[in-house]
Amino acid sequence: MAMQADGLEFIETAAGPLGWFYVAACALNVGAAAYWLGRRKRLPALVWLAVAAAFGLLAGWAFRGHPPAVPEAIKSALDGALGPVTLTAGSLAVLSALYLGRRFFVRPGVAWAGCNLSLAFLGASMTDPHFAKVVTAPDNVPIVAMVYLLGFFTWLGASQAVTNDRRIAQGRGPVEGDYRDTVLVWPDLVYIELITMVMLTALLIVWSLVLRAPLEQPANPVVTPNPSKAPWYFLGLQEMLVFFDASIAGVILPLLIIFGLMAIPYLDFNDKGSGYYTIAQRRFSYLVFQFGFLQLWILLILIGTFMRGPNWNFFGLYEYRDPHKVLAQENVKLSEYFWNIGFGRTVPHPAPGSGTLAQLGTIAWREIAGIVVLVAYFGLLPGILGRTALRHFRDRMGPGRYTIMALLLLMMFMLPLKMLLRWSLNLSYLVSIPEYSFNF
Amino acid sequence: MSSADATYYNIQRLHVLFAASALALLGATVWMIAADHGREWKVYQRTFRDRVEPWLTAAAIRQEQTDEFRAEEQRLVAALEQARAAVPDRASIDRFLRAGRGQRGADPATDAIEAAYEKLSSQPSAEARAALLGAISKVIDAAAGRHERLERQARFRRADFDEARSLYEAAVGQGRSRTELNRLQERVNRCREEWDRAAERAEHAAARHAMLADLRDRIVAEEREARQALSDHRARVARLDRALREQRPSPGKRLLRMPFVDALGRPLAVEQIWLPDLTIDYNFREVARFDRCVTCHQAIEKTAPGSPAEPACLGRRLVRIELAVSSQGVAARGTVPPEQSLDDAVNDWYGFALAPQGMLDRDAPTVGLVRSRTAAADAGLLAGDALVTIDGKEVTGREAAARRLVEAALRSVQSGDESNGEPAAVRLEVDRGLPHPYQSHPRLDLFVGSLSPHPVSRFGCTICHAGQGSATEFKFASHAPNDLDDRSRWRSEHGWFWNEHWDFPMLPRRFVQSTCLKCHHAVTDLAPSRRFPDPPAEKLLAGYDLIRRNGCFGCHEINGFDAAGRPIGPDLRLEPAYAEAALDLLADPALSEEQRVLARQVAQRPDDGTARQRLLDVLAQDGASPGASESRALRADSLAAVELLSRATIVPGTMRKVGSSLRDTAGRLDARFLDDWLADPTRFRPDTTMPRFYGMHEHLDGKSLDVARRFEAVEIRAVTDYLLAVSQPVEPLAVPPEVTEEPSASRGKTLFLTQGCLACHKHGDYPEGKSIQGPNLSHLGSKYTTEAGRRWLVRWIRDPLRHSSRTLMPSALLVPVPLRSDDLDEERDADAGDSTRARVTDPAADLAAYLLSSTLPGEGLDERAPLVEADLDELVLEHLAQAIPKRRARAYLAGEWELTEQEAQGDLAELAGRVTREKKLRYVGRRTIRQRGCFGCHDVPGFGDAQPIGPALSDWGRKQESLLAFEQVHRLLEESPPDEPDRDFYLDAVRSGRREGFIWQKLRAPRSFDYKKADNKAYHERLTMGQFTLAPDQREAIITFVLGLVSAPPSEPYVFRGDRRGQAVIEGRKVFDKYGCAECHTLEMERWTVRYDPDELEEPFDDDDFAFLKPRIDRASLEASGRPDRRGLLRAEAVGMPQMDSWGEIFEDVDDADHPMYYLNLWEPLTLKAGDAWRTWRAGGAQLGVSDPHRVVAESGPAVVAPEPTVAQQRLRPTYVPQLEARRPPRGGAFARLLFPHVLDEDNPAVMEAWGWVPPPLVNEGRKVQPAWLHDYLLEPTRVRPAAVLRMPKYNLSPAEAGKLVDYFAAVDGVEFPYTAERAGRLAALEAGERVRPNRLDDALRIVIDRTTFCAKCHLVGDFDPGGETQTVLGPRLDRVGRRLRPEYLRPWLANPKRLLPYTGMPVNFPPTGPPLGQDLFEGTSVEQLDAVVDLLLHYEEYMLGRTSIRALIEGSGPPGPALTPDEP
Repeated sequence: MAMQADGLEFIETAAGPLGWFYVAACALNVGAAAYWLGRRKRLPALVWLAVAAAFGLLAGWAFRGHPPAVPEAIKSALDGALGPVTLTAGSLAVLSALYLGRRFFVRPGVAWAGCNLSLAFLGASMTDPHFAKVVTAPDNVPIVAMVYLLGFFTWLGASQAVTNDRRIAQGRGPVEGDYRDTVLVWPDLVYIELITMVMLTALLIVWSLVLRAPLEQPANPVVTPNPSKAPWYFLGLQEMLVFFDASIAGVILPLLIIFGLMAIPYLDFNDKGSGYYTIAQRRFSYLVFQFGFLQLWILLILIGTFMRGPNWNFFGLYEYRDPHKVLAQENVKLSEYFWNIGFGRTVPHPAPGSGTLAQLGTIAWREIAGIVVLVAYFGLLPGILGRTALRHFRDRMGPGRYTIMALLLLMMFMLPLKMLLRWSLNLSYLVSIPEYSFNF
Repeated sequence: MSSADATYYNIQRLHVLFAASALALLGATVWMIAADHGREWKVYQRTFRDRVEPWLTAAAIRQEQTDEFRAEEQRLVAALEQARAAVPDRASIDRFLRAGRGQRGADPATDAIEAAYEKLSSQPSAEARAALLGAISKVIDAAAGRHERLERQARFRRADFDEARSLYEAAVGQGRSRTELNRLQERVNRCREEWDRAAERAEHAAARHAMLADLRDRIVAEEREARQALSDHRARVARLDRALREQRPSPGKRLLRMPFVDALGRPLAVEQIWLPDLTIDYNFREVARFDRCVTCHQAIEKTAPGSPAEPACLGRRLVRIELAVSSQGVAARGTVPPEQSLDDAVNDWYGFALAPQGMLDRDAPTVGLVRSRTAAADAGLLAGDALVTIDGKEVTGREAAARRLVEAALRSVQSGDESNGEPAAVRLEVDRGLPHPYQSHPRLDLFVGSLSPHPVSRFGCTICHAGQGSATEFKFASHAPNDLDDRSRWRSEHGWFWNEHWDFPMLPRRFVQSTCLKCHHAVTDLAPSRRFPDPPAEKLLAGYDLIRRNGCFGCHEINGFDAAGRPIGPDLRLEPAYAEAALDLLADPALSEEQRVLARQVAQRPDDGTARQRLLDVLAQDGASPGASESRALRADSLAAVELLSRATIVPGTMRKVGSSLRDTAGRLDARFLDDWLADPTRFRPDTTMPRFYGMHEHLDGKSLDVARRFEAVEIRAVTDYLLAVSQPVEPLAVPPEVTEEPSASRGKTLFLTQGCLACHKHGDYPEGKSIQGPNLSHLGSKYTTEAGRRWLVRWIRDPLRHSSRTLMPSALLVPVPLRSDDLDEERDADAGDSTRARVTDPAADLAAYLLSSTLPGEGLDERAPLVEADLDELVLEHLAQAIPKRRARAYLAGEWELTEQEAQGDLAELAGRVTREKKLRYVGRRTIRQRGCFGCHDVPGFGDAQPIGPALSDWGRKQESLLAFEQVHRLLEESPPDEPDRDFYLDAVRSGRREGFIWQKLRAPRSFDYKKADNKAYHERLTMGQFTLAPDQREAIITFVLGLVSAPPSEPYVFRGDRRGQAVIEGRKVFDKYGCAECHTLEMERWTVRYDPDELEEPFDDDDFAFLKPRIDRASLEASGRPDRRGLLRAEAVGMPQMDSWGEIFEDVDDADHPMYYLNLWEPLTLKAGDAWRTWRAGGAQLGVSDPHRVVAESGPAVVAPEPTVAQQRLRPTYVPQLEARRPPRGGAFARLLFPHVLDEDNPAVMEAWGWVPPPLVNEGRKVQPAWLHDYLLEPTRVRPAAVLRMPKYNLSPAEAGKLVDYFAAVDGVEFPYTAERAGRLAALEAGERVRPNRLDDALRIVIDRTTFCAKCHLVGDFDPGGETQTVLGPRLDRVGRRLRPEYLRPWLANPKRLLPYTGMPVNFPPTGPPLGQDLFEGTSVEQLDAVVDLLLHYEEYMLGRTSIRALIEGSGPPGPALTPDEP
């Protein structure tokens, strides 16, 4: 049992910093109001002023030691609801909704409102010691910053693309077409680089002063931290380890990711959307990228950062990270499903002492179901898809390029599918050959 | 597309942006520098070096410059002035002139001296004297010049000579002609002459120069001495002045400490101690230790000025002080003096002065100087104390404080006068000491200091304190709060948090002693010693004792050795179960008689490896080895015992099981008592060390509670039945035939005291007995209710070893004794005149009768509860299902089949065959004993090889906290918080999942970790640890010990071994503690620290003594230690025993100031300063009166009628008595002191002598007795002093243990060991003595056997018994003295017995002064007599052998009987 934090005492220590957090949020909204006022839009300016006032009020409460908190009922409801399944499915749904309603969501007012909501949520959640412990851990602060940065840049790209799409539809060409194509090295390039450098230096100094590096002990090979987490950028890979064997998740899939990224220029046949933002003209690329990046990479990092606790168990945002928490994780291989549950027979085992070939034969016989599934998935699906949904691609790309793309795509979808199988069927591996350290 | 020179961005805006970013960078940089300048340790270093250290030095300088100092300085300066103007006497000047006058008659230089001297003597002044000395110097200079010149000449001549000689020798070598050689030789001779002449002249000049210089030195000697005295006097202050100059920073240093510059390094710098040998263990890697703690803790090593170990900066605390105001001084003024003399008034009236400014808080009114022998000094005010309140009112600011002090003095003097006689006093509250990190280590005598055994440069800090030594910030150093106040303060002041990045956080102050165990594996070496009389690790030792007494190691192995046998920590392991295995074997009827004898031998002495091996050999011959296929009819469990006997370990454990043997339970206890005892031992004996195993249900509810109730009842009954069933019979010990009397409880009650039972056992009738060495023996009548039990008790008292071979209880060697006359008085009746000789009592029976006469109050024990068969079946099924399939188990219980041979292994053996109720009970009993680990403390038949049931504790102190199963116990604690002093600290520890929290709750309520878990556990999966009766402080002591078990010894040189002597002391102490020797015997006398005024101390009464008895005192070291304190008092330490009155109470007198006063009978010579000289009070005879000013004589209550002082006391009673400052109690001997009042004979005025009738103190024992004798005596005690009321019992010591005790005594007394008696030399001396004086020993024997004055008056000699009725006249046997006492002890002993044993009744037989006694027996001086008697006693046997004629025996001419009887003269 690690720190079972004392709630009341924690709120006392957290109240001061939270006050400043709300003051900052208030200032941001005052800035937003000024922005809208500068663009002579009274109503939004008034709204953001009101929001600023609300944040100011919260700051006042916080400074007096009573920061608003998320009600316990909502906390436990959220903790109960936010399982891996809901998170994956829910984020997929949210991303789809954002995509479909992108014309609405990219409007600055809407986006800003969303940002404010997230700030309020963050502030109210920070009163929870367990949430705060995870979010304010010096290692995790950049991840929180990343969430906001990512949100901002996704919004920026989508917003530009929506504008361009609208202009293209009106036949005006993208905004970027209005830019001139040459600028001066000095001052246009070097000066802003210099300014950026100075600002970043200042930021790094302040960062190092505010978030002090902890003094830790030399690594002790006998005592490993629990949970042992990879660096934040590898948390997605680490999350894959839950569903795949180390050789697959640690070696093959990362290599495939790299090869896939390298292959993109050679697979891409769409010559539109070069040098300007657009969604309408590159719908497939956009969707695949956003799914692969946001859903399969960023989301996994977030899960690894905020939701994974001791023993790599899944924890709710507000849950105490109890190292003694036990989750039922009895997983079953496909071969066991097939032989034992399906046919009521014992799973065939290669007879000890038999020849290599005989052993391989037995293993293949044992894993027959998984092999069939895999062959069907990777062998038949590209062809089927090429004749149906992706016919257009096959026609444009030719069979070679198409097959590579289809395999990469299938590989990418493999991950959510495997997760789904784990959650729904407790399936550990489709093909499991521990004799040769191969599990898939 | 726009033109090329137009910019894309608005440059103006970029400029603004650039300016803003540059400002931001500047701001960040300034912030960074400020953050660096304000780093915690830099602030601490600046504060300490700029404020604290110079302040302390300045205060020390002020303190040095007292009035006495100034007066002395003035005197010395005056003396120097005087010496510098002194007129040298005419004679010395004349001598100088005579010596200095040149050969040439008139000499202007000497004339100048004449003139200067004339001038000086007519008008003495420093200038005139300087002129004279100048003139003298001129003469000396001239002489020196001449000396140098002549010497140089001589060197030249010598060179000439060397050259000439070498030329000659070369010529010889070249074979030159005779003439040439002659010529050369001629030259050599010439040179030689010249050289000799020159050398002579030079010598003469040198002598003259030296003489003149010497004469001048004599003339100025006085002046030189005066100058030296002055500089000696000023040396301390000069040294402090120098220090102060160094501490005040120079402008250059100041510059280096400015912001930004200070980032570059010195003088503010991280200070670290590098310890490459004292590594930190990171598993597979040893990392050198860097301790940077001193970076902030700057004062840690600082001692008070002039003291080797007193800390300079004390820990911060509030102190209340009462300042007595002298009414005369204040009344003389009467009013508040004008403003400018407030300080003077404070100084005059109180004797202290306020410093110009405070240390940390500059405005705090701080005491800067305390003058000696003033009210402030008497009240213990110290420089550096900051005044907080004066007479209860808060005070701030220096001026205000001074005014308030003056007002308070006036007020208190006025009111003091009114309330007649009460001394006027002003009450102050002062803030003493400094906060961390400016404190010095509180135990510089032990730690950190360079003179201590743990200097910081060699040990660092974290080896003891743990924590992250490389940190330079409070929060990262893993400081650990001692309580919640600390914690919240640290949180707010330092941003402290539990640092999870360091496996071993600093230990909270309360556990700090636990790390001692890393190096001090023996633990007993941490006991207070002569060098460190203040206990170094009291709590840890208490924990060690508790673990030893409660037998924690029975279930939790505490192994002090790793697999390779290297020591890793304290070793507390059970001894190998050889004795138990041997006893198990004995129960087997198939054993042969030879095997039986050997097995009994092993049971008695399991550490005797040869007996065990022989037994194994004999058994192997019979084929009864565990591996043998067919063994000769030995039972299965006997084979297991044989296997056990054949095991060997590298380093076997040494601890015996703490509980009683359960091997003969049926022979002494009945089921009713056992049931009750098992259910709750505290019901019968509230202070028992037996833990409680049943009825702890606070954490249970619902189903789990019901299960516990039902099954526990079955278990209790089953264990009782099992123990009764497996009991082995013990051959009864017959009642001695000579006993005639019926047992008597009243005689037994007296015996209980006088036979020493109280030394180890408590009893309700004797509340003064406090020992917990053995169990409390009250209410035994309720325990032994059967006739068999009562008979067993008698046998047990008579010979406990017969019943339990490993018991620590000694055999008191009780033999039937004739009825004592005073017992007879009580029951004197008609037939009293009847032959009393025939009336013989049995003390053992009397004691048993007494013990059985006490019963539990109330109804006694309940009847046995009826057994619920269903519960029994259920429990049997639960156990059985672990061994065989459940369905089969059910069928077995239903009686459907029998257990087969193969299945009935181990515990199932109880169920072999068809099921019966008895079998089920026995099975459950056996299972329960195995699960609850009863065999960890008790010898249970058949469980010799059972493994301890608890987890090992050898490295529990470093167990990973995340592996501790706290479960949900914090909820239980929140719902029903315990009511304990330190509960908040521990509750926090439980909540944060720390080790101390876990073990605290485990000791408090061991089963509570099953809270809300028991419902989901099978019964056998529940926690099993028993609950001990421990007070909160005891619990903390145990926690301290267990936290220290980290199994991480530092590198070899750091592990404490001690020298050979030290090791002997450590090992001996262990044996002492094991058998409780110190319960009876005093090992160290009381030590009183006293303060005395040397000017008022009277010289001691100096009695005459032999020269060789004079104590040797190192005067030089005494002089060095004699620095008076502020009150002008000196300190001394006296060792001895307080004088008792004839009721056995400490004799209390009243001194002149009506303070209580005691007398100390000195056991060691004491040297005090009386007047200007050092005087010695001798041990024995001398008494030191000591008053206790800190204690007020009780005003109410019964008046103590002090007996009239005896003549000796009156003579010795001093007019001035030293004051008692601290009193260290004696070590050991509680029982002797308890018994003392009871043996006092009211008619006997010599109270001291009664100490000779109780267990003797063992001070000086090593010096006194011969090791060989002591060793044998410990194993087979004989009666030494017939006068003593009880004799030494016989312990079950192994010879090795006896040897350890012998070595211990020799080691503590600093005498040689192992000892070899040097006989040859002594015999030679004997012969020499005989040659000088024939028949010397014959005459000595006449002294020895003289009944009127000398030895035989009191002592037994051979078969002679002086037969006195009173105890004084019963001395030890003299014929054995030669083997018992060391020769170097015997002579001083006979010369003056009281010097060595102050209480002895033995008189001085050989007076050191005056006419020697017994001239009719032995004509000679006292020393001759003494030496002859010593020689005779030491060689008694040889001497007597010489008087026995074997030939007479062989030839049958003499009777074979007592030829030894010496002829009467």
